[in-house]
Amino acid sequence: MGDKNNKLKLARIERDLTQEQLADKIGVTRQTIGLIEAGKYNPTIKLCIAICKELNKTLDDIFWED
Amino acid sequence: MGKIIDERIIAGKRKINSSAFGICFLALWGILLYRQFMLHQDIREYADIFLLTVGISIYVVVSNILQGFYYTYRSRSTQKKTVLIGALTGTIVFSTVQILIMDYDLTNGKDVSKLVLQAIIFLAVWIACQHTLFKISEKQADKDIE
Repeated sequence: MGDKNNKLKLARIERDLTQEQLADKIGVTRQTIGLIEAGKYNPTIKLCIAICKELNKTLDDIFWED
Repeated sequence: MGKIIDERIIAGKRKINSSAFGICFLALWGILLYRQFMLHQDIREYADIFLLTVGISIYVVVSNILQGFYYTYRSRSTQKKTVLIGALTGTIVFSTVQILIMDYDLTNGKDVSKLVLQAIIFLAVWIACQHTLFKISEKQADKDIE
């Protein structure tokens, strides 16, 4: 499985959102957001874009590895 | 962008359904073989299961071909190996059934040559069919990118 996605976690906290709130805004379950942050689930590009739009970030900001 | 459907849940549910179908499919073949070879039942006694099993098998193969998934995701060498293994297994099963059902006398040269000839024809037809199916499937797969 992939590495932890701390960038997503930080961006979410920056926007003062819980996993559940972000999940609700996008239309997925809290577990899906949790698994993406934990690096245990690879989202499709469609879901990545939805997350980025909700957090006002680019794909690079959240999903590109340094 | 509106709300999207949770793809992880959908993928998970599809996986469960797919596993359940796989189990049912294998069980159907098991029931068929058991009835035929252990209980020695007449095919008319289990025609419903037979038609269902064969029907599902045909549906799976035809759907894969029409969607362009029929081994097109494998390399050429793997495709060739798959065809060869399938053809050899099929020929062995075919010949065994022929020996058991048709009462071939393996000490009789005429019977043996007839059996070998049938096996060769079966092998050639199998390979030709598989090759044709691969070609059709590949054509279908390429259709989407034309």
